[in-house]
Amino acid sequence: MASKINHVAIMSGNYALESKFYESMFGMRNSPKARPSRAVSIGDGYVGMNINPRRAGRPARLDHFGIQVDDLQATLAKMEKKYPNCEYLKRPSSRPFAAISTHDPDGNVFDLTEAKGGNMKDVYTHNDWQQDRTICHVGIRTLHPEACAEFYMDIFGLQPSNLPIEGAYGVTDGRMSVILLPWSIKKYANTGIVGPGMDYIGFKVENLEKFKADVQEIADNNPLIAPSPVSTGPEGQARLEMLQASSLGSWHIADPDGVLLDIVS
Amino acid sequence: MFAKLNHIAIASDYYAMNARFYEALFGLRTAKNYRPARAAVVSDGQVGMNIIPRREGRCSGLDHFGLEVEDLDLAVERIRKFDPTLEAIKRPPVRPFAAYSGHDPDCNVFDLSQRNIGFQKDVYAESLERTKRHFSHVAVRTRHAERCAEFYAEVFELKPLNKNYGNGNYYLTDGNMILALIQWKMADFADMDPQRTGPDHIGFRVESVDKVLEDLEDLTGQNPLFHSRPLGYGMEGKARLDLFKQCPLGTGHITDIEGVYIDLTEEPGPSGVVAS
Repeated sequence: MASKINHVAIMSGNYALESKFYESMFGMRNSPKARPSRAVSIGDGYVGMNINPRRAGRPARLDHFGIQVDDLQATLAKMEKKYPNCEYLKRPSSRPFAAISTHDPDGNVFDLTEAKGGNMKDVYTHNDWQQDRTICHVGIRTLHPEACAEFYMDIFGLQPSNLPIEGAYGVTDGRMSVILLPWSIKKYANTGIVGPGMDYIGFKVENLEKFKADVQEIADNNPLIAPSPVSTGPEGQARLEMLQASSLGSWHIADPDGVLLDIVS
Repeated sequence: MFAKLNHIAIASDYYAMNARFYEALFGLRTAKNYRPARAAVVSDGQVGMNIIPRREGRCSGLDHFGLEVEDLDLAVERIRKFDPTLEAIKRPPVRPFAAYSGHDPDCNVFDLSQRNIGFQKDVYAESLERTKRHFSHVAVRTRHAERCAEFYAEVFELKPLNKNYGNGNYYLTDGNMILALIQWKMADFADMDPQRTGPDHIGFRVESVDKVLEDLEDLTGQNPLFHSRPLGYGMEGKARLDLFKQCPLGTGHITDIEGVYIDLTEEPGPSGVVAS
């Protein structure tokens, strides 16, 4: 497999607290090489998660994902030839993961890095351990999921994954998947509308009941890192039903900022 | 005009405090019959702003805008005529403004409302005197700005601004507010994190940019929770501020307490209105 989907990024006004949530609940680890003045970068042994401090003019949200390729220049050349409308941009050297940022045919922005490019820092330089709880997918709602899936398969050699979700197209590197879901305003009939873009993060846990018990115990001990409520009121219930119908997991929670999590056991 | 751009919405992690910021700095007002358990709704007398508590699965930031039209059915019919793939949906009745939500050809989501048909609430149902400092524009970065400009002109009869800024962007007005459609380009984000498409900033018409900056400093002294986010720090901060400053509709640049960009202008509005 030439490409790895191994980066997820959140923008947050509470970035340090958010990191504590993922470290506590999922056992994600910081790096001894961490740079304390910058974003928090934590890993699960394969996928690195950046929790970036929200900057002026930027929203707080689940923001983007990233792909590591073997040969960045060859990838960009292929993209330029086949998808000339997809622009790309070289990134400042301070980034722990991204060498390039680009977007798919629907404008979903993602980062690119090279396996041995030398630009990687923090947890991305040694994100290679085993742990029980890992990031297994991200969900993106987009206007043309099939065309986007073709793009990711064509340019990055990702494989299609069979999904029991109506209208969804999955692409996988064998461990981590991107689930491309059809965006339609009509799906938001009974809840607040969110435009196309990143929707949720999927985590695989070793045992759902054990995980639920851990979440309860951790939240009891430290309410600041308790999951934020989901499914409250009719609009929350509608949002939860929408998530349940478009994800793979059997339990759905939200991090302290409200980023949706799809828990698969 | 067939439509008035008279609604702005921010989703916020600190919605109550952010509403007080806009009240304190810009003199925006709440309605007599407000609903304390729901979003904070403030108004400049013509444009209402909902500051919505961020819910699970939502982003925190400048979220959408809304248009009040003379005839909702006709507006929805025109949307479908412009492009049958564009959709609009009815909203739950608890909303103070939105009867429908729709989207333009680039999936920029907006709300639709109609005056005097019984569902508007909060500031949208009351007549409030116009505040001295008031909204001037809302800006959206989008991938097909020209096509979106055609959409808002054809469906809502917004008029192109009688001024050519020569930057390839599109500026439409309802006679009061300006909708700025900025062409999104990845190249604009060199030296910073790329921002995906969507609402970019709001603008206020003020009597004096310097006086607003002075008031902001004074407010921060009175209440440190009212501090806005720093702009222009470091190379990346400078690049972001430079991009923000490319909007020709404002000359002063600040943020609210959560970082939503606010552009300040002393220029008269499209109808000649000034802040005084």
